[in-house]
Amino acid sequence: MKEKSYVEDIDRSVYDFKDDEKDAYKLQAGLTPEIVEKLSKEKNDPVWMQNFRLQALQIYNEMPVPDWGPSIEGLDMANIVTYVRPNTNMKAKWSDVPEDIKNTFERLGIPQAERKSLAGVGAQYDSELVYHNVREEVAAQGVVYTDMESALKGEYADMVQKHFMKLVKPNDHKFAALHGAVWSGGSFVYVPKGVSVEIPLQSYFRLNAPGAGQFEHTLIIVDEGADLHFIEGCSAPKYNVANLHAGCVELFVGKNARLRYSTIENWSKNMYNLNTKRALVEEGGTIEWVSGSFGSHVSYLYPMSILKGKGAKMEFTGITFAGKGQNLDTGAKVVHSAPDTSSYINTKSISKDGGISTFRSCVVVAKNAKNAKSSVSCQSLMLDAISRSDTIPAMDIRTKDANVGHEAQIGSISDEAVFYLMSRGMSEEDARACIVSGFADNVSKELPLEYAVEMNNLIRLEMKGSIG
Amino acid sequence: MKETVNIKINQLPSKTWHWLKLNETNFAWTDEAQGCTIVKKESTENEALSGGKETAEALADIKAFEAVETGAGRQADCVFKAVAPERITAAAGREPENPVVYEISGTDTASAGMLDIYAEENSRITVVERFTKKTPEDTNLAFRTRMIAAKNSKIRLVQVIALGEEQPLLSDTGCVCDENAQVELLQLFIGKGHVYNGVRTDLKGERADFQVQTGYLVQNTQLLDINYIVNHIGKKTTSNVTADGTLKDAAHKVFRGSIDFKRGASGAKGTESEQVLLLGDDVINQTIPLILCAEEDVEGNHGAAIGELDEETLLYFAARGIDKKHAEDIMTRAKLELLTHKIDDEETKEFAEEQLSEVLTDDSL
Repeated sequence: MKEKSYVEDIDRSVYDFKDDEKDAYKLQAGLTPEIVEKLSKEKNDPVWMQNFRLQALQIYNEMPVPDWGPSIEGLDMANIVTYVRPNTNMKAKWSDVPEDIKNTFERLGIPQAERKSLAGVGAQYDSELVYHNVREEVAAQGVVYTDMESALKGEYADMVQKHFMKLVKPNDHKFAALHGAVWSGGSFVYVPKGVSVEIPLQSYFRLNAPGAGQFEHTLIIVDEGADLHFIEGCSAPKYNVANLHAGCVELFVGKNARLRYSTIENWSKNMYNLNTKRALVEEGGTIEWVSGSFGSHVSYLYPMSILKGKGAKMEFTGITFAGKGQNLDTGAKVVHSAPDTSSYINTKSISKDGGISTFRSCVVVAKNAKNAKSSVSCQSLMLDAISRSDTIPAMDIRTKDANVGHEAQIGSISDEAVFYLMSRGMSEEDARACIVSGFADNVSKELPLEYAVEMNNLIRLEMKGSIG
Repeated sequence: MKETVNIKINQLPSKTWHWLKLNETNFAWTDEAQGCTIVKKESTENEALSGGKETAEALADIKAFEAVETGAGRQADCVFKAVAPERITAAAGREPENPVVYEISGTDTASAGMLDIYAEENSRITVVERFTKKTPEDTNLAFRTRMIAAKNSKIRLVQVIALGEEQPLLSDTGCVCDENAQVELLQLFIGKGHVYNGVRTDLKGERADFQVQTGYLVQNTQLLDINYIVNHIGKKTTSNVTADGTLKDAAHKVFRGSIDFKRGASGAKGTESEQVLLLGDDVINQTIPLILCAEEDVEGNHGAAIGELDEETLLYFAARGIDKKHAEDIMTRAKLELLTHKIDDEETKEFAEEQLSEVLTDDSL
C-alpha cells in the first residue's frame, strides 16, 4: 500500500506578514443604517450615493444567503468592520507613502513591477487607496486612471454616476447589495476612443486589518476601438478571525474595443471572497479574463460577460488551486444576446489536502443570438482522496442557429507520468509540481512574464510536501 | 376530494444559480390517483421468472425496494403511495428466453403504476415497457420502475414512450447494482407527450456497471425533462450515459446528468455525452451535466454538442444532392432508428417504428 507522507503547512511568509494597526479611523463592527450613514459621511459622498447606499442596505437585509454554494456560516457581519482608513491619504509619489505601508507593498514587489512593466499602479491598503500613479505618456493619451473617490467627485462624476452599479445592480445577489451599501476604494479607468495602452495598468489590494472587510469598486470604460490590459492583485495576512472581500468590478467594453482583465487572487485562508465581476461588450468588442484563484477560505467568483453587440467576443482562462481548509467555488458566466457572438471558457482546477474546488459556469444563448458559438472546457485534477472537485456547468440555448460545445474531465496525476519524470532524475515532489505547472500552463502563458512566474511560484508553494 | 399536490422532482444533487431554473422541476399531481393500466404480454411467461413470493424473504425484498432511490426523488413518493407494485424476479442463475413486455397506459383520470424488477445472483433479464395512449381521454400518467441487480446479474430495461400529444408522463426509475452487476437502460421518446423522466442508479458493488442510451424527438410545445443521477459507490464501478436527440418547433428539453464519485469509489470511471440537434425557431435547450468527485483515483468525462448540423455533415449531404431540410430530417430519423433497432421485442420495435413514421410523416423523404 502506498504510504502518504506528512504534508507540511505551506510557508506563505511572502504574503503572510502583518503590520501594526495604526489606522486613522475605523468604523465599529457590524452593519446598520447608522454605520452606513457614518461611512457615507466619512467619505463625503454626494447625496445620490448616500441614498444609494441605504437602498442597497435595505436590499441586503431582504435577500437570502445563497443556498447553492460553499457554506458561509463562519461569516458574521456583526463582527466585520466595513471601513478602515489607513493613516495616510492618497499619494502620487511612492516616496510620500508612509514607511510601514510602503514596506508592505515593496515586499509584495509592487513598485518594482511598476518601474519594470506597468503603465500605472494603484495600491489600496484596507479601505482606501494609498497610492495612485499613471505614466505621463499614458496620461497624455487621455487615459484616466484614478481612485473611485476622486472620480466620483471630480470631472468624471457624471460618467461614474451613469455607470456605477448599473451592470451589477444591488439586487443581483446579497453580496452585491452589501457592496453597494459599504463600498470603498477601488479604481476608475477610462481609455478614450482608439487609444491603445501598450503596457498594463495594475491595482493591488492589501487587507491588513483583522476582522475587516474590503469592498473596493473597479469601474473601467474602454471606449470604441481602444485597448487595455488591466491587472488586479490581492493578498492579506492570515488571522484567526474571518475577513471579508466583497469587491465589485464593472467593465464596459466599447465597439471594437478590447479589454484583458487579469487577476492573481491570493487572499489569506481566513478570507471570505464574495466578489462580483461583470463586463458588457458592445459590437465587435472583446473581453478576455485571465483568473488565478489561490487564496481565500471560501470563494464565490464567476466573472460574467454580457455579449450585447453583434460579433462581441469573450474568452475566459482560469485556474483554481484549493488546498487545506479552502472551498473555492469559481467559474464564469456568459450571456450571448446578439448575433455572431462567441465565447470560449477554458479552466483548470486542482484540489489537494482536503481542499474543495468547484467549477461552476453557465452559457446562455438568447433567441436573437443567431450564429452564436460557445465552447467550454474544464479539467480538474485531484491530488489526494481527501479532497473534492465538482463541475457544475449549465447551458441554456434558445436559438437553433447556435453551436455550443462542452467538455469536462476529472482525474488524478498519472503514476506513469510521475514515474517517467522520476526516471529522468526528478524527485517525486518536483515531478508532481512539474506536472501541475504544466496542467496550469493555459493560464500562465496568458499572463505577463512576471505574473506567470509568480503564479508558478504559488503552485510550487502549494505543492510543497504534497507527495502521497 | 381530489386535490392538486405540487412537488419538486428531478432535483440536482448539487444546486446552482436559481435564476437558471435548473435545480429542480415543479410538478403538479392530482392526489388519490387510480392505478394505471399495465398489461403483461402473454408471450413472455417464462419459468425462469417468479411473479412474487409469500415468504419472509419476500417481505425483506419489499423493504429493499422501498429503499431504492429514484431519479424524480422522494417527493414523488406521494404520487405512488396508493399503488401496489407489480413484481418480477429473475431466478438465480437463470435467464428467461424472451424479454418480459409490459404495455402501460393511462386511464380517464390521473393514474399511476409501479414495477419492481429483481435479478437474483447470476441471472439475466430483459424488460420492455411500452407507454402508449389507449383512449382519447387518457390523462396524467406516472410510472415508477425500481430495479435491484444482485451479484453478477444483468437487467436490461427498454422504455419506449409514445403517449398522447399533450399527455403528461412522470417516468421515475431507480436501481441498485451489487457486485459485478450490470444495468442497461434504453429510453426512446418519440415526440409524443410531456415527459418528466428521472433515473437514479446506485452502483454499490465493486465493478457494478450502468449503461444508458437515450434517443428523443421533442416537437411542438412538448417538454422533455430528464434527470440522470449515477452514484459511483463501489470500487471500479463504471457508467456511460449517452443522450442523442432532436428539438423541433417550440420544444423544450432539460437534460440533467450527474455522475457522482463517492469517497471510496477508487478506480471508477464515468462518462456522459449529449448531442442535441436544434431545428425549431422557438426551441429551448437546457443542459447541465455535473461531475461530482470525492475520490482521487477516478476518471470522469462529459461532452456535449448542441446546435445545428455542422458544415461538414451538410456538405456531405449536399454532395449527394440532399438539401439542408432533408439532411435534418434524415439525421432526426437516424438518431431514433439507431435505437429502435436495439429494441429486444419485435412487437415493440414495430410499434416504435410506426410511431416514428407518424411523427416524421411530413418530413420523410
